[in-house]
Amino acid sequence: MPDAHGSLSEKKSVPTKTILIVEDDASVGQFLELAVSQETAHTPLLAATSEHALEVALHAKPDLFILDYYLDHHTTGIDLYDQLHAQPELAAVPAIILTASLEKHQPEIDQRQLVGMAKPLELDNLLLCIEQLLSILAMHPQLPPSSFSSGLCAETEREYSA
Amino acid sequence: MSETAAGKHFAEEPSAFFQDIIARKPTNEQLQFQAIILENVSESIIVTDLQGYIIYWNEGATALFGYSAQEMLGNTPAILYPPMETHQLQPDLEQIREGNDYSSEWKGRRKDGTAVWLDIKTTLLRSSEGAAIGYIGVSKDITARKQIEEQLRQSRDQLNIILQHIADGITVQDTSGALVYANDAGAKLSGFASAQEMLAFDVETLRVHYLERFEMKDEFGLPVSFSDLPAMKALQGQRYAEALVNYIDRHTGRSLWSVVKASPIFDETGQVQFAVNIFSDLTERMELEQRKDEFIGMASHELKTPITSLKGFAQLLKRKLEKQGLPESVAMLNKMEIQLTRLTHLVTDLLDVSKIRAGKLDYAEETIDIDAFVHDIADTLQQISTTHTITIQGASHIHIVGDSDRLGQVFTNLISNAVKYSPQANQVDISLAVSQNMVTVSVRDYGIGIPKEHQQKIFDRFYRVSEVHDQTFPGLGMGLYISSEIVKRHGGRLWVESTKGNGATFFISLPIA
Repeated sequence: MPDAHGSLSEKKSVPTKTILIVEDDASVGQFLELAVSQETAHTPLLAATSEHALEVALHAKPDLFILDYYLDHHTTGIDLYDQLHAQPELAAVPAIILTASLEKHQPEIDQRQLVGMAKPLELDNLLLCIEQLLSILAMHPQLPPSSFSSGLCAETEREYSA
Repeated sequence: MSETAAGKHFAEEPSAFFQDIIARKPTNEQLQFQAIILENVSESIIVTDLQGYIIYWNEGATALFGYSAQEMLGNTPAILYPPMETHQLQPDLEQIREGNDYSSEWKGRRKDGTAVWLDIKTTLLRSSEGAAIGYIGVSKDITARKQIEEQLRQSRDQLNIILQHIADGITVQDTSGALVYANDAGAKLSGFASAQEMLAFDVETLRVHYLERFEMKDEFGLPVSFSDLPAMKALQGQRYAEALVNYIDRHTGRSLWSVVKASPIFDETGQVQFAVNIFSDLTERMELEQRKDEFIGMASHELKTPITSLKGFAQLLKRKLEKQGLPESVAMLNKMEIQLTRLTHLVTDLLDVSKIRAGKLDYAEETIDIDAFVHDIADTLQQISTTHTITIQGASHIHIVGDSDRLGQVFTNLISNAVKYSPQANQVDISLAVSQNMVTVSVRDYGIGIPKEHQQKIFDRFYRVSEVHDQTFPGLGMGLYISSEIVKRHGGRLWVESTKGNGATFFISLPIA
């Protein structure tokens, strides 16, 4: 496990950004919200449904989406991303897709050049990934999301069972 | 003279020819000699006039039917073949008269009422001038033969009834692949309404029918070709072939699972003559298995959500406690995290097992420098092992094509097992070697070893070696099953050599790119 304890939140290189978290499981949503608010300099916004997410996104214009794969009413995080991406003002916003079946969903994630992360998450990896995406965005504000390589924040190694 | 319904007319008005013979008999030595011959022949010889009335009856006929010549002369042979009437003989006699000899098997009745089977040959009898004068019938008792035939037929019928009522499907093919036998279950498992319908197909139509009608898959969902079928292997001389085949009916979409077992039947010269196939319907069991695997898949997926929360909050809390300078609490949270990671791995393994079972485990095709790959994994594992030294001997200097994540999983599993199952030892030796078209990696430990009776089973799903007095090790028995399936899917082989108490060596051989 890489040791990044406490180091990320002190970095002030990236100015405060807004991160929209969409997660239907209340507990996981709360954890993600806390992770962003306590361990980064950014502001989390939490939505439990895709409808709510769209509403919040259009209003708050977030800088990053963190989307759970399985959402309400058979909507997936990918479906939601497509809807968000279709909005001109949100078209350039990158997204992290969280899924318990990363292998299965990797193709559609790769197709959109998004970042996929496996559940259960490693907090360090998540924080690292958020900072990487936002710092790239800070340096190249006009970059389309497709320029974010899907391998960017992916865990370098699959964890194996003994 | 006679009481039979057929009546007698010979005594009243014998034909001119025979009147002649009768008149000459006592004086003609030659005729007497011929008569002696006829009387001594064991076959029954019966002569009738052109109307079908008996004018000659030899001893053989008496022996056969029990009637004396006296009783039969002037009667018609219809008496011998009840319920036949005299007039029913006429059409046959007409035929013979036209020159067609008549040969046939008849069931007759003796005087005592018992049945007798006869092989009869009837010919037209001509005078020395060539005129038709009557008929001569030569009969042989074939009752014994008929009885054997009947017994054979009965036992064949019985065998057929037994075979037809066996729940397993049975088919027999000759070397051309043509069907020589099928029972109803075999026909139904092959998508036919009955054995009769199936047997009506010739070899080529049958093959075409099969391929058009069924999509054949193995348990991993991979296509099964016609030549993969056990019958084809048996016809090639393989003593025993078995396959689990999923027949998907293209018309109805119905899915049938069947274990097909085939073995060849050899002739005296050792050549394959037939292949016998036995189909056992496993549809219900496979459906149950599928439901179970789906459940495991769903359950492990569901388990990941609470684990995500637990792990997330534990890691958040750890960061908080670190900032507050509480190392003891951090250490406790570290222990919790390790257990959460173990839990995650168990759940991931369960999910892998259900994916393997459903044929949904996907494999990437990457070129892998196997030496560097094994070294990397060994280095990573060395970093977390405080008890064992991991050594690597040899080098293959080759590349293979495979899924690096999945193969990494295999090597990690084997090396971790080697550490786990040798708690008293301090070394794990890995070696790399190339032979023919394969690269072989071995992982040797100096631990408790694996008794022979477990060596094959350890690669089975959920199998765990459990010996009463042995130290127990945690786990669900999934690691080696998953590893073995991954290696199989790479066209390779995973096996173990071990004697109890002397450690174990696991070998993985993989095809060279």
